[in-house]
Amino acid sequence: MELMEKLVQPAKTLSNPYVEAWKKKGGKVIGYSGTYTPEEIIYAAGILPYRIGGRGATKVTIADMYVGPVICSYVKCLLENAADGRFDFLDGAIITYECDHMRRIFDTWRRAAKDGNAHLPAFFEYYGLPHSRGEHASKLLMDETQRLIKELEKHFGVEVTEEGLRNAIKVYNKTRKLLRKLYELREKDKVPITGTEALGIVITSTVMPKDDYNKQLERLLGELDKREGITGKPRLMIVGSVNDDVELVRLVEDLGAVVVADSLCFGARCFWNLVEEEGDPLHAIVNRYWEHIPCPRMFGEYSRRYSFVRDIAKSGKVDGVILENIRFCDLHGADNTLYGRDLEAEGIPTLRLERQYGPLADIGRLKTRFQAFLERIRR
Amino acid sequence: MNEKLIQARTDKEVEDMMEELLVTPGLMETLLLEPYLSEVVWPFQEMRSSYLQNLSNAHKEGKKIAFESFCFPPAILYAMDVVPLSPEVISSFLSLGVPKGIFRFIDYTTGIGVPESMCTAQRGGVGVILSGLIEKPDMVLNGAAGSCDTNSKMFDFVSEYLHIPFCNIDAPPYWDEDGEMTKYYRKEYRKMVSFLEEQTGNKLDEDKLRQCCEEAKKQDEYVAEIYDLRRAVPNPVPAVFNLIMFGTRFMSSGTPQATEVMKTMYEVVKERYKRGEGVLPRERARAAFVYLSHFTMGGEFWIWLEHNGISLIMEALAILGHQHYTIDTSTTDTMLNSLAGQAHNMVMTKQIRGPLDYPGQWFEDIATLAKDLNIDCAIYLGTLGCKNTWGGIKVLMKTIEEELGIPTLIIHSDAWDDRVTPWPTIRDQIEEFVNTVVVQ
Repeated sequence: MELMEKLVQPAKTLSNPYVEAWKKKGGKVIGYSGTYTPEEIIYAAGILPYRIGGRGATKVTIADMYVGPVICSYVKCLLENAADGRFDFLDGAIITYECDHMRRIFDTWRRAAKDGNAHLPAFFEYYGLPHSRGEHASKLLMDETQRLIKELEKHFGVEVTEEGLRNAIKVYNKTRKLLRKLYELREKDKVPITGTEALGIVITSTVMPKDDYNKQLERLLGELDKREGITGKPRLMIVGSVNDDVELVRLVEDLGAVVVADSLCFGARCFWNLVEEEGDPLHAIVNRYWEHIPCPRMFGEYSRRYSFVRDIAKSGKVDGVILENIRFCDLHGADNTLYGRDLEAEGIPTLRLERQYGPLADIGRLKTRFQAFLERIRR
Repeated sequence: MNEKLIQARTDKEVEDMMEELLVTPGLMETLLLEPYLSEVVWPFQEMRSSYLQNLSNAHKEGKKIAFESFCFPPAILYAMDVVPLSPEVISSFLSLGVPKGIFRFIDYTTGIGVPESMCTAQRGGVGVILSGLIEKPDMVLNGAAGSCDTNSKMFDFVSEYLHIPFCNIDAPPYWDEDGEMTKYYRKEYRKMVSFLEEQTGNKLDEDKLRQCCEEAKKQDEYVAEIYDLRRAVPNPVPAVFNLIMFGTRFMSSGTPQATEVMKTMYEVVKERYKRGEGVLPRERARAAFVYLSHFTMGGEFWIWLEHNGISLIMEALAILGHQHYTIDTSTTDTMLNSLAGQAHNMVMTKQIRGPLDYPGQWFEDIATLAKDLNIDCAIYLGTLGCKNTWGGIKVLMKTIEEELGIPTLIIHSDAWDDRVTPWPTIRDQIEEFVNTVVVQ
């Protein structure tokens, strides 16, 4: 399926034909680090938001010069990509305080650039987030977002208007609704799409212009309706640390399972919630990012996260849940223990897995763990 | 007795020894071996006993226990009749008390699914609590939000694991002295006070709050006086006073016992200063430990430094964050703002919440102190759990070398777990660094 390939291929590389075409037309690109960065403001500035990731890195030699030994391998790979010039196409980057590993990229990337070991985009900003909710937290986040907009306008000589934001909300909500439809298809008894393809499609949504993406995804959804679905395989869900490596999901599926659901930040958690289209658009955007399915960085909100995981597991009729965390990712690691306790209590089998981030590091061990889990499910 | 604990195989055996263990015999032996420390030992011991006594009596007396972080001064809890239980304090008692004393409790948490990469500062104490060897807390106050994910996650985990209420006291993403960030934190602090009122059913009592604030104010004054005396060459402040200073603050800030400890330390140091007597007759190095020290082997860390001519001028836990606020006891409001200010400027909460080179952050604070105290080397010791500092320490140390012109050393170790790097290995690395790099 050619259309499928077009929407999956960009997930396997860092730069891609869409970004290249955008740059060729003189467009600017801003990299951002995760699901708490309000992409709409970048889009409204006429700039392409691009989610940076770790894929493609095959070593962490430079990253190891700047971070300690207990840092997440995804973040190390991301820094290595910067050092290897794979992000040189970026005109800017926003590092959002999502976790302690990621936030220090703001320090290490700058230092690596100072040492001549990486290219630093001319626009390089830190976006600080609180951890609490309530009026004062919303105000702090709003102030921080307005500061970011001002910096962006000043640097790129652009204006982020109310109309631009409203338009961005419409476009982004459309992407989110289309992705929700894609995920609804995955709930069917005959699943028309593999988990590997679905992850690729979601990753691509973060690295190409949304208008074009929406058109292509809409067409693909039409085609998927005609696909003969997958049946007779154990249905799995993946929950846990960041993963932009489609090969991890392929590994599970090659063993005879089909992944039908997830709670991942390159997955359901990045598109699940919509932005309110009425009222002040900036407030609506900030609220959406603040109120979306919380990452484990938000403390005291386990029950919200668990409700989401349980509901998705149930609507996906999953036979088991893989709870994975990248080594040293304590936020997901600790949550996974609680998920394991609570899902098992509801009769849903779980596999607890600690791993290193790609490219399929530790493949033999992972395969054995997945096989054993599938045997448990099939019994 | 130490050997018995190491050999203990059953929970019953461990339980029988817990009471004795929490007396921290290893540390006490270390302190009593040094005659000049003995004056401080007894008030410190009395304060520690009160802390533990309060814990074991809390539920019998109808009081609530709050599971709270070391980087959050507990004065407000004493003012509200809530008993503080800091996992870091318990971990340190165990680890300083007897060799290997903490291991089985760290491992206990691994056994229930806590990632082994989480911080041992909490894991030891949490292991003790979850094994039921001390009273279980009634609520969780997370004072590490914004400065440490791992620490915060443990608090989040304990709340969910024990099904007890949780309150976040969030340090905002940047630091300022009296601006929007400070205002934000004051609101978080008041949110916590309301939470405590709700959990205990008691209203905040202004007189009690004032008593605690007045004690906290005196303690701050002694700490500030001791800080001033650190400038002297040779330094008259015994290394282990750093441990006692931050231990006292973490356990008992706002209590008269804590004031007594601080006062005694100040008097000892002042007298030494008057006599022109440094802890060392000649300082081979004036060292800054930019994050942690090492909490095993009966506190040998502090004593060993001095026996090797290394003057401990700056230990981050003891002297970072003792500025930028004053305690004003005029009204309830000013007192809450003062205590919020104290917590907002607490070590770790203040310095590592934002980018390293931003105002009031790690580099700026180290640079200020290094210049003021004439420091000639900087050493990092941490834990495997500390992702936030490990994420930035190499950049920080390079910057210190370049901008302050002092040599640095990063040691891969765990302050509470000698299985990562044994203390003798750490000791050798420090010694080699001082001999070959610092002492020219």
